[in-house]
Amino acid sequence: MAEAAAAPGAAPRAGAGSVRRLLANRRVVLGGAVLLAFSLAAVFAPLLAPHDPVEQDLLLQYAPPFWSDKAEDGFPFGTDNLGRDILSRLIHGARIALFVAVAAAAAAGLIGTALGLLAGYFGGWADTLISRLVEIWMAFPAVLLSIVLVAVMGTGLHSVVIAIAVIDWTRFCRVVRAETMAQKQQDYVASAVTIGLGRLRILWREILPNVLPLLIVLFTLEMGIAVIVEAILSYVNLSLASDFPTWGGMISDGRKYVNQAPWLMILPILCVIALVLALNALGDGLKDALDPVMRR
Amino acid sequence: MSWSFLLRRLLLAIPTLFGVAVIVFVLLRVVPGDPIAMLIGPGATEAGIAELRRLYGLDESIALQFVYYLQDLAGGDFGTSISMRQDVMELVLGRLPVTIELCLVAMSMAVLLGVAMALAGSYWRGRTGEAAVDGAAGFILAIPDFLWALLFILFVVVFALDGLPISGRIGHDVAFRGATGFLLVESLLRLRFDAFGSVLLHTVLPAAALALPLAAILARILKASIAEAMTQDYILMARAKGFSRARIVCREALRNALVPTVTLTGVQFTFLVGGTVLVEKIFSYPGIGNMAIDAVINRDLPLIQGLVLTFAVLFIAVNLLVDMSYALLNPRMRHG
Amino acid sequence: MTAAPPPDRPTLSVRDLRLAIAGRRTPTPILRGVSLDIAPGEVHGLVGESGAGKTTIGKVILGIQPSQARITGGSVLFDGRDITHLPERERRGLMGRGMGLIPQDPMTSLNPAYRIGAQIADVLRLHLGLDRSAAGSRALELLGDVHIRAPERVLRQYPHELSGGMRQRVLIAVAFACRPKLIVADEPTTALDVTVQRQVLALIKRMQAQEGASILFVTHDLGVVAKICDRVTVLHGGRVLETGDTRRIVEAPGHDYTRALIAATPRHDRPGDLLWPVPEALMARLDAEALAYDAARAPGGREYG
Repeated sequence: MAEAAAAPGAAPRAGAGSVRRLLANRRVVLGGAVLLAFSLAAVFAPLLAPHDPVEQDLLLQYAPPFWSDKAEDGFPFGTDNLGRDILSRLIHGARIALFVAVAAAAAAGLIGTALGLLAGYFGGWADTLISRLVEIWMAFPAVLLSIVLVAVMGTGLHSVVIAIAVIDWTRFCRVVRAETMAQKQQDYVASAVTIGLGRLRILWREILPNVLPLLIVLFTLEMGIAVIVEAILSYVNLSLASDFPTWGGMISDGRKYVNQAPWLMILPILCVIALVLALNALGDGLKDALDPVMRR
Repeated sequence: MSWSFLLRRLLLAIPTLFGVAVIVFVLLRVVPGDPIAMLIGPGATEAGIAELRRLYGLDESIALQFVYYLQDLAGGDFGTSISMRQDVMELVLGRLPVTIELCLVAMSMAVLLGVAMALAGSYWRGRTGEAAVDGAAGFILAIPDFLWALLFILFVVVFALDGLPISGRIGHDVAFRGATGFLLVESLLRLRFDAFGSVLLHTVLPAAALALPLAAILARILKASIAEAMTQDYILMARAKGFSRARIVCREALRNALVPTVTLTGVQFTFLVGGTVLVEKIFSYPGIGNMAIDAVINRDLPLIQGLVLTFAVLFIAVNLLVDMSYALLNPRMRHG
Repeated sequence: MTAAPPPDRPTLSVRDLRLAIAGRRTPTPILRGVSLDIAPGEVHGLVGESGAGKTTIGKVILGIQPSQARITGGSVLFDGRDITHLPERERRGLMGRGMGLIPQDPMTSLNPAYRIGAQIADVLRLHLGLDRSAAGSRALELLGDVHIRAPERVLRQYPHELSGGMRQRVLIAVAFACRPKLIVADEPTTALDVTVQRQVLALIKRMQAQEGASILFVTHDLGVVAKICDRVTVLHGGRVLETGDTRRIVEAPGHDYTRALIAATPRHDRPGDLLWPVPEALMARLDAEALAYDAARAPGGREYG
C-alpha cells in the first residue's frame, strides 16, 4: 500500500545513467583509484608488508631508501630509528588511517544526520535547540577540543574516533538540516503527507533517500578530515602507543630525527597528503557528478 | 567607528565567554572518566585520591563545583598548574605574547600573500596567470597547516637551508631576554636588531605554515569579490577616465572588494589562531599552543582549563579586530 | 602630416563602423556600418530604442567597449586620426583627456570607497600632471562650475552622502575636468527625477557652451533631443536610418521609423495625447533590411571573426 502510494510523487533517485556520469568525472576516477589502492593496502596489509611493522633491528637503524647507494636490500624505503621497515609500517599505517576515517566519518555522519533530519523536518523548538547547539559547537577550536577530548577519554583508537565524531557531527547536521528543509517543500513529501504516512516513515522512506547523495559527498570529505585529525593526534602521541605504525606517529619520529634521517618523515607525509587529496578530489568530483541528481 | 560600537561588541563577548566556560567545565567534569585518576595517573593510593578530591573541591556536588569554578574565574583565579607548580594565570600570561606575535606575523603574511594572489589573478583574468593563481590556491588549501609546517621542515633539512631555524624562538647565541615577552616589538624598540632578526627568522616558517591556508582562502574570496566589483559602473567610469588596468584592479576594484572579503573570511582568522596549537608544537615554538599540548600530555587539568579559556579570549579578540577593520574599510559604517 | 587642419574638419567622424559580439558559435552583429560626423562645438543626438546599438557606439568612441566586442570594419576618426587601432597606452592618453563620459546612472558610477574630491582630482593628476593641492583647488573650482553648493564640504564627502542629481553634477564636473574636445553623454538624465532632469540638461548645455566641447548625446527620448541637440542621427538595429538638423527631423521626419518614434514620444505641452507604438509591419521591414545587410556584407558570417 505504502509502496504504491508513494508512487505519484515518486522521489527522484540515481539511476544507471549516474554511474556513467561518475566514471566520466576525472576527479572521481582519479581520487577513487588512489583510495582503492590505499584500501587494498590496508585490507591485505599482513600479506603485502614484507616485514613485521613493529619488529626492531637495532643493527639496521636509519637504513636509507632505495635511491641512496647505502640502501639495504629488502628495505626499499629504508628503516627508522629503531630499525623497523618503513614500507611495512606505511602499509599497516594505511589500515589505521582508513579504519579511523571510515569509523569516525560514519559516527559523525550518524549523529549529524539524525539531528539534522530532526531539526530540518520538525522545526520548532527542536530546530532552535539543535541549531543553537551547532553554533556553540562551531565556536570551539577544533584541534584543541579534539586533543582535550582524547586526553579526557584516554588514548586509543576508540577515543580518536569518538573525538572526531563529537567535534565534526556539526558538518553533517548543518547540511542535512538545510537539505531536509528544502526536500520538505517538495511535492512528493506533500503527497506522502496527504495519504497519511507517519512522520518518521516519511523521514525514513522519502526524505532520507533524497539526502543520500549529499551524505555520500559529506562522508568522503569527512574521511579526509578524519585522516588529518588522526595524523595530528598520533603526532602528539594521543592516538595509539608509539609502537603501533600510525602515519602521524611515524611523522613524529621523523620530526625528532629529521636531521639524521629526513626520509623518515617524507613518506608518511606523502601518504597523508596523497590520501587526503584523493578523498577531497573524490568528494568534490562526486558533488559535481551527483549535482543533477540533487536537482540543483 | 564609534566607541559605542566597540563597547557593544565587548559586551556581546561576555555571554560567549560564559558559554565557553560552561562547556569547559562540563567537558572536564561530566565526561566519563575520573579527572583525579587523570591527574594522578596509575598507582595512586585511595587516601591520596580522596585528599586530591577534597583539594580540588571535587567532593562537592556538581552544582556547587560550578559555582566555585565561576567564582574563581571571575576573580581571575585559574588555579595552580599541577605539572609546573605555578599559578596558571602567570604561566599563561608569560607565554601569551609569544603566540600573539606569531599570530600577528602570520596574519600579516596571509593578508599580503592573499591580496597579491588575488590581484595577480584578477589582473590576468581569463589568461594563464589566473589559472596559475587558482591552481596554487586549490593546492595550498588541500594541505592543512600542520602538514605545511612539516613540509617546511623537510624542505629546510633536505636543501640544507641552515639560515632558517626550525625550532625555538630566538637563537641560543643571542643574549636578549626582554622584559615583556613581546620580543619582536621590544627588540625593535631597544634597537637590538640582532635579536629582532633572530626572532623574525625563527618566526618565518611557523608563521608561513599558519598563513598559507588563510592566504589561499583570502585569495579565492577576494578574487571573486574583485570580479564582482569589476562589473560595476564605476569601473567603466574609471576606464573612461583613462586609467590603466593595473590601477583599476588595484585601486578602484580592490578597495570595494575588501569589505565583502572581510565579512566572508573573518572566521578563518580565528582558525589561524587554533592552528598555533600544532604548529607551535612542531616548531618547538614556546607559545600557549605548545603549552596546551604539553598540558594535555601531562594531564594538567587547571592548566588545560586556563589555556582553553585563553584561546577563547583570543578568538573573541580576533573577531573584534576583524569587525573593527570591517568598520574602518566601509565608509558607510564610518559615518553611520 | 598636413599643416593646419581645415576649420570645418569634424571633431569626430565615424565611418561605416561595424561591430559584432563574439558568440559561442557565430558572432552577433551589433553595428551595421554606422557613419556620423560631429563638428566642433556641435551637440549631436543619437536616438533609438534600447538594443539599437547607440550606447555601443558611445563606448567604442570612448574605447570602453566590452572585451567580447570586435570591430569588424570601418573607422572612428577623432580629430582626423583613426583611434580604433591605437596602441593601448596612446588610447588611454585620449580617454578622459581628449574625450569624457557622462554616464547613465550617477548612483553607481562613482566609486563608493573614495571621497568626491579624490574622484575628480585623480583624472586631473593623471592627465594634466597636477600635484595634489593644485588638483584639489581645480576640483573645487569645477564643483563651483557645476553649481554645487558648499563645494568644500562635498569634496570631503563620500558618494553615498549625495543625492542622484548631486552625483550627476559631480560626474559632469569629472567629464569636463580636462577640457576634452568631445563628451559622450550616455542617457545622462534617464535615471534622474523629472525636476532634476531639466536642471541637469541645462547644466550640460551651459558647460558645453562654456567649454566649446562637442557632445554625442545618446538618448531614447526625442523630447530631450529637441531641447538640446543641434543635429540628430536616428539609429535602429545598428543602422543609421537618417541624419539631419534637429528641427528638420522633428518637424519633417524623412523616415517612417522616425515618424513612429515621434508619435511614441510623450509631449510635455500636450500631455493628453495618445502615444502610438511603432507599427509591427514597420518593425518587420526594418528587421528584414538588417538581415539583408548582414547577408550582403558577410557571406557565411565570415567577416565577423
